[in-house]
Amino acid sequence: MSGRDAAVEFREAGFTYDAAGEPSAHGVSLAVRPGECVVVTGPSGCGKTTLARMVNGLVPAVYAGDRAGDVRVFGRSVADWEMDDLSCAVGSVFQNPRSQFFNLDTTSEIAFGCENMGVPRDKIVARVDATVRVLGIEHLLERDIRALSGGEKQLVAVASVHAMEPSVFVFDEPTAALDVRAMLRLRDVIVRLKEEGKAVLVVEHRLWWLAGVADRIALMRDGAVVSDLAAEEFSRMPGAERERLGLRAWDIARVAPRTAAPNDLASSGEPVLSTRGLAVRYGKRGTFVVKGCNFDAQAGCAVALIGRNGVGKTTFARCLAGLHAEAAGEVCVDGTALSARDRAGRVFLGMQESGYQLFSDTVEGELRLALDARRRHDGGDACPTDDAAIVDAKLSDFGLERFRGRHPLSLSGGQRQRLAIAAGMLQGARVLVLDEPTSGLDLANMRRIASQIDALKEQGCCIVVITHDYEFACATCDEIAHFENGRIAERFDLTPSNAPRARALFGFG
Amino acid sequence: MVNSNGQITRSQGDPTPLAGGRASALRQEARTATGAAGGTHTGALAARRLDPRVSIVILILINAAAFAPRLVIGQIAMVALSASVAVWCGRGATALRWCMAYAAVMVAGYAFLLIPNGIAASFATMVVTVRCVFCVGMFASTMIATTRVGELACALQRAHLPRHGIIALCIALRFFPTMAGEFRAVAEAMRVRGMAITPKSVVSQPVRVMENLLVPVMSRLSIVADELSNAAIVRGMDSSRPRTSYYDLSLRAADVTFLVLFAAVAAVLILSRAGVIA
Repeated sequence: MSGRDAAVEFREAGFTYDAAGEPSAHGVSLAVRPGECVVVTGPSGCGKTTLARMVNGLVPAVYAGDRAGDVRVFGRSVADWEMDDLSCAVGSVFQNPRSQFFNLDTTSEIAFGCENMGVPRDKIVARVDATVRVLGIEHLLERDIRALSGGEKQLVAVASVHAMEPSVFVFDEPTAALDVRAMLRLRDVIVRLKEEGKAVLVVEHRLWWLAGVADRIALMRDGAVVSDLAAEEFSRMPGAERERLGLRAWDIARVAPRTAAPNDLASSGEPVLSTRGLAVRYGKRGTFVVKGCNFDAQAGCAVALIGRNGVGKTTFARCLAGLHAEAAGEVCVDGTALSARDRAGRVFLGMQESGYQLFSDTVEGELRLALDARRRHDGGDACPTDDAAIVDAKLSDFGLERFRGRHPLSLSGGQRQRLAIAAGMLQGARVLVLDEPTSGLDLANMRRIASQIDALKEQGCCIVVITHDYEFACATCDEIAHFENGRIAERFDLTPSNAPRARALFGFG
Repeated sequence: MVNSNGQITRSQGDPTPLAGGRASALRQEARTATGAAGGTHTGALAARRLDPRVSIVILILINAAAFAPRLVIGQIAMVALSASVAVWCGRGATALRWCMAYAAVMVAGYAFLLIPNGIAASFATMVVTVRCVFCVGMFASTMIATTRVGELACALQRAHLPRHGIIALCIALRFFPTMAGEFRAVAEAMRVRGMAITPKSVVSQPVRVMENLLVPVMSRLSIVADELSNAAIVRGMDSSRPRTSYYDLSLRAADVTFLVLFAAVAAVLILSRAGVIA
């Protein structure tokens, strides 16, 4: 394991955050050599992000605590490096592409790290040119960052780090906000980094995109590395074993939709949600993002709305939820055409950041707010009056009884998401539109959301999920609707026999 | 556009000689790829822009001349110049909107003067004030939309401003759009939760509306701030090394022309206020 040639080496390393009682990582021994890609994975909270921070110097520069053992970068202990030198040797790319930018245009951003490090101008120019060539992103120069897709932003973040010419790259859940094509693009970039002889450490939940580029997979659990396998060995691990360890799929071709029993609720009756000739655009003269879109969804059914990034899925969803008025056509809920204003609150949109959607100071209060909202738009007598009983019932349905007195923002991401959906249902929404509910989630949390959606289906809700997560779609969705050119271009049941088509539409080669 | 050291300078949309070999050729390709589409390409940057130093000086000139009410013609000239800068930067539509707004303000000002009572007069004063600072807003909007943060940092470095001040300014410029986006997202989330902000809710429950809006925004902003500061540290923002820049600023004909024109108009306005010119 050891040896002078390792670019990064953990020797019985551990770390305990100041506020925490338990160590977040302990006894970790791991090495990454130049030209090698090592993936660290494991369930949420297993300590893998701490590992990344121990390499890039954020532990201890930002996060104070007790260190144990040693982390060496090129044979020198991280503690002995000057932060400037360490930042030049170890480049870091983080999870959220939105919050790692300091400039508003791409060119300045790529040059930014070099400028801070005092690299002479002619060298910066040469490095920026070399970087965009190596990464194949010449087309991303001279652009407004805010107009880029999440995937493009992440590539700019990689480029910006690359221009600092580090020998080690640390990626901390880089694909949480990316679609399949962007993930494949990032895989190409990592291949190129390896060819350049860079040592690459990837901390990640979603694993399939790393098949073929990862050399070793280290599994973490409760702060310790429990196994360190060569990629080949890992790929031979049986699916059941992998799931027992709480890991996401490695080989997408082996992920199959379940053979769903035909749903009685779904096949019968009027669609709960339908759109006819829906057209949406930005501004009065903007181009149509959605045009002539006909779509309907039944009660007790979950439809996966898929399509490339930036194709208009989110705009479509926002229009369904009444956040964006239609330019033409109509949206019917339970057979009645509703204006955008009337849809708001009746078609519930589960946003990616559920923290935005919670406004009360307790979990219980949040659900009472929802009941109040329902009274406001349905009139006082339209809904039952026994508030306390209804709130209690919903809390137990969603497994939130224990938290009734907690502040919503103190909950974990998954709990917040459940609370937001519970509130949506209490305010009388039968149609739930969820935008990327599983971004950045490990297997256990992804499964939890899938079973939540199954429960909602049984209660007669109609669910539309925007997702790039094929594994998740297979776990809970009944149908695939492919959004392209402003309308639903293709629609079919997600069954094992249709799986190859679904995979192709998700963007797998 | 090759300066005395043989380095390639910023191209500003003009054809760049391919002096730097393949590297600069690639950059040029990227530029023309985005430049050719002009303002219509999503995310393409303004093809032409003023030197940030010139922009700052012009902004100061406009400010200095803002309250010289005697010469309306001078003020109109300022607005026209600002509009021409915007058009030159490829922001014709925006320039048109600003000009229309200015015309509306002018008409409103005179209309209030026609009504002879105290309330109308106080409105008229307000409109006149708006008219005086109008040009500041108009030029600043063009400046913010077209100036590169990196170029601005370069300009300020040349003026030997302290490193931390420069970086704070860069982050502030980046943070305002972020903050605006966060507020928008929360306002939308309120609509989804069936508690849309309406004039009625603002009047009847102002504290409630503020709380619903501010608490989620603050909690989100604190997360973004933490993530940004981590990214800042590993990108050497706190480095003790002297900062350099990717950009090499040099004044160009357009910069000088606009500077001279603005300076001339500002001089006339200021002199008129001082009573030198009637």
